[in-house]
Amino acid sequence: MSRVRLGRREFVKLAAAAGTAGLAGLDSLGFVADASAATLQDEWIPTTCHMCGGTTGVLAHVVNGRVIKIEPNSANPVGIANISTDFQQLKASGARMCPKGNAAIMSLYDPDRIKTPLKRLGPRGGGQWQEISYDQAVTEIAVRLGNVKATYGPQALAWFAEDASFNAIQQNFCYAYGTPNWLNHSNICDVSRKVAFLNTMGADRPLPDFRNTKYALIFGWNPLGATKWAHLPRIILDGLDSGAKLVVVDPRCSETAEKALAYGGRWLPVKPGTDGALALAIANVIIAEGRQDTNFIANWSTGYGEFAALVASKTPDWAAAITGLDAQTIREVARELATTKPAIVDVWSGPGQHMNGTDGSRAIASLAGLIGQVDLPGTMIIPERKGPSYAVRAAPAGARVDGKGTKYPFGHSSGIYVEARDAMITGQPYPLKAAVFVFQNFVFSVPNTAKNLQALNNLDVIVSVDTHMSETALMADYVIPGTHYLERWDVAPQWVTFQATSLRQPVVPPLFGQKAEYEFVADLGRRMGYTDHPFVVPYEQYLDESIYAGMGIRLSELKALPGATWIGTGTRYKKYETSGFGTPSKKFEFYSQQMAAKGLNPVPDYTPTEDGPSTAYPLYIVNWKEALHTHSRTMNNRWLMELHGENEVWINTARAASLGISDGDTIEVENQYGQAKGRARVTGRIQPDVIGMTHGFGHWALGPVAKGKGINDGQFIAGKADRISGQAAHKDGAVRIRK
Amino acid sequence: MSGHASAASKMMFVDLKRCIGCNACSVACMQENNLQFGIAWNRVYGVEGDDYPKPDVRVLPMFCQHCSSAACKLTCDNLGYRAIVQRADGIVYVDQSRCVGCQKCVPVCPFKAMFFNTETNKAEKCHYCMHRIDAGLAPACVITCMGITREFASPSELLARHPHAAQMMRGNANALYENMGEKPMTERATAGNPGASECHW
Repeated sequence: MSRVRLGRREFVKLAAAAGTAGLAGLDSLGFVADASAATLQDEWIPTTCHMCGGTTGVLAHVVNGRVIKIEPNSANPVGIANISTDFQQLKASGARMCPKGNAAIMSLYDPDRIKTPLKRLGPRGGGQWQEISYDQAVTEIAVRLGNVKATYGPQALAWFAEDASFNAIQQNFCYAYGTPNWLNHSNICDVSRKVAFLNTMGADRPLPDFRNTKYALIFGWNPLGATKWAHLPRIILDGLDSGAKLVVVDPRCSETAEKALAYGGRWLPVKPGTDGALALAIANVIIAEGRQDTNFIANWSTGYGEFAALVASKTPDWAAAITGLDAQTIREVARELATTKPAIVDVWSGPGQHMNGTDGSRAIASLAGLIGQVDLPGTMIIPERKGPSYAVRAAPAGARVDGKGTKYPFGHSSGIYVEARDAMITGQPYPLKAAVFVFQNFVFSVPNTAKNLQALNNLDVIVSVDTHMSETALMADYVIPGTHYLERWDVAPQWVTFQATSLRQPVVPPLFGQKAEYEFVADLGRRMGYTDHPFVVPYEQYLDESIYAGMGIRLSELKALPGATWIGTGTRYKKYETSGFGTPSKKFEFYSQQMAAKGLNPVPDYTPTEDGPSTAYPLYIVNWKEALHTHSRTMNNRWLMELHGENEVWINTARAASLGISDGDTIEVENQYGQAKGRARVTGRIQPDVIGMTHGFGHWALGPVAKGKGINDGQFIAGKADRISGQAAHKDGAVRIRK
Repeated sequence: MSGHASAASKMMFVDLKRCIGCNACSVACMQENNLQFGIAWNRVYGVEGDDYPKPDVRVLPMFCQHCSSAACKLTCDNLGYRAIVQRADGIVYVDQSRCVGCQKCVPVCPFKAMFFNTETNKAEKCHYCMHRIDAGLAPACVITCMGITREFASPSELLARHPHAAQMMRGNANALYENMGEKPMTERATAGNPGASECHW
């Protein structure tokens, strides 16, 4: 909860000295420029935020070499709007920024940053380190990785890459070394959604045009809490103020569901992992009542007959029993959706992070086709993007360790973290002996914390590149100090519906003289004997070449543009009329031939998810993101932690009463995977069979501010992945709680 | 029209219905004003009912209301320090050079908007980013607000956009802010939030 929370009576009186979670007593970090010094340099430098992956445009105010303020960048659409005409119209009113973006200087100047390369002394995870030179670190890591390759073969290395412009050099390193096991973040994020949309409307990330819609039905997404792209609140609230109706499907009354209710919409508190059943029942009603878009279906889709046959038995009564909603509500929502246009149907990681995530998401995506609401103003828009092009050498021939493309037929290019983790434990399909983590807190980010630690304990060599001593860095043999986004280059093709790409540039040099991640990989590559491109190319030159290859402009030109943001062609609609959808059939696919070819159900039938409640563990456990924090990495940021310094365990009021739990009680959360204490937050804002919490708290490392605050959700999760996409099933779990 | 607001002065219009409670305002203020750890001039309160499955959730971003007869200022004046000053444009600020750090102003604020800085040993609070206003800029909280919850504009501009704001301005001479102040919310028309009730603050 991002707010100071008071009871009604106290709230009225403002009597309780609630205040914010106190961090009083800490000295100022002294990030403000010395006012007495002569002002030698005072500039505003445009760059692109990376406090989360949202890449919002920002301006950094730098005075005498110190960053003293971050403000929104109105030349960059992220923070303004995701439709080109809205962006142009709203530009003058200024871009916006989230609280994390506002707190960037507190992480840049965090006294707890890693400042020098470290080499492990004593037992793994014991926290004893020797400070070593960068050259010694690179040399020793090269020798250790060389030994792994000589002894076990190159496939014994798995590399977990930060997903940015230097993703490609990390991939090149893996392929030069000879391992196919290059992985990155997406498979612990939203690849069920990607596979679902790719296999229906032929684009892996369509974006909703909230500002111009009249109806938005969103499943398991909280864009007003997990704000990510800073324009989301504006475009959603503008839509609502213009009369749009918002319906939010979520076991928790999220900040988005809260606004749905405030504006006369609906919160549909489903049981976790049942969203697909709801979507199929909505389709059932629409088809039974003849409300589908027959024109769109006839001209632009394929497989409608098979889909209609699938949903014929998926009645509202059937779905009511599964979801916990009532059948009449399902009918009403179906009718509203089919008759209020333009309409958005969208789904993100709530339904996606279950074992049935891809099919559930595909059922939801199918609704957009059923009502013909695709690539029109006010609907789901297929974005057109243009960005840098990175050269990557061919992958080595050997099989990947994580089953991408085999065990997981639609496994995303980012790989499958949980499979790589399991291979570290079981040695199957072959053993892993070394791992490199670049800005990844693997221990916290992959479901099943105990297994993650067990896995890392089985490795011979672990290297972590990070700004902070994360739980993963703590397990490493070598820790290389990483760079904050304000210290480094990058290029960000923006997630808006039109062409827009912005530059990230160092606004101050790396504070500790450390190398940027790209440079570390290049140095390591050269030390391993790789003398080809990109290992011998300086970072700026590499970026310039990649930008020119993909966009036809030079780095210097991008840098000189207003707000260091390049804007290309505007939003275009109904692109399928000229080029078809990006599916094999060029049609919107209710039935996927390529899924059938890979032995999967070609239509998105509902299957129950896994690891749900049992007699021993009767409550679902879910987790979510909030505006004040990113993943598990902002919990040492003093400003953000002042405002929300501990996650609470949300429990429905009636459930809490039956268990004798009161708001604020310390409770024990337990299942077969983990046991921990948390603070109860008793609320009417969560489904009675569900408990949950913000993801990313409960650290035992990361920094003194983070340590010991709140409860880690990942410890309670089995740690499997959706069998189609390889998406980690972060939200499949059940626990018992007691006071 | 607000009693103290000159034609040139600007008011804060906060649409509670659009506030998502994200705290961007809080952190923007910390950045802009280099606040001591533990102090947030901008805070966001929330209140919610237990009425599942339709919980009544309200969000209230709270900061100094710049009251025209401010309790903090009256207290300070009565003690003879006169460290709390109201400008012609209505902004109430703590003159740091006059504050003696007696802290008597802190508990009297009905909005809990006055703070005591243990590094400077002086009282402090939101001063509407008057350094920015004097430079022609909007306050830091306004320019970051993702919900476009806060509007900072002249009374005439606000009236043009929100005709019903006339009642708020007429009804409360102290208000630089549409729907709260010293008086209970029930006494005000509440722009964009017809369902507001007294529990909102």
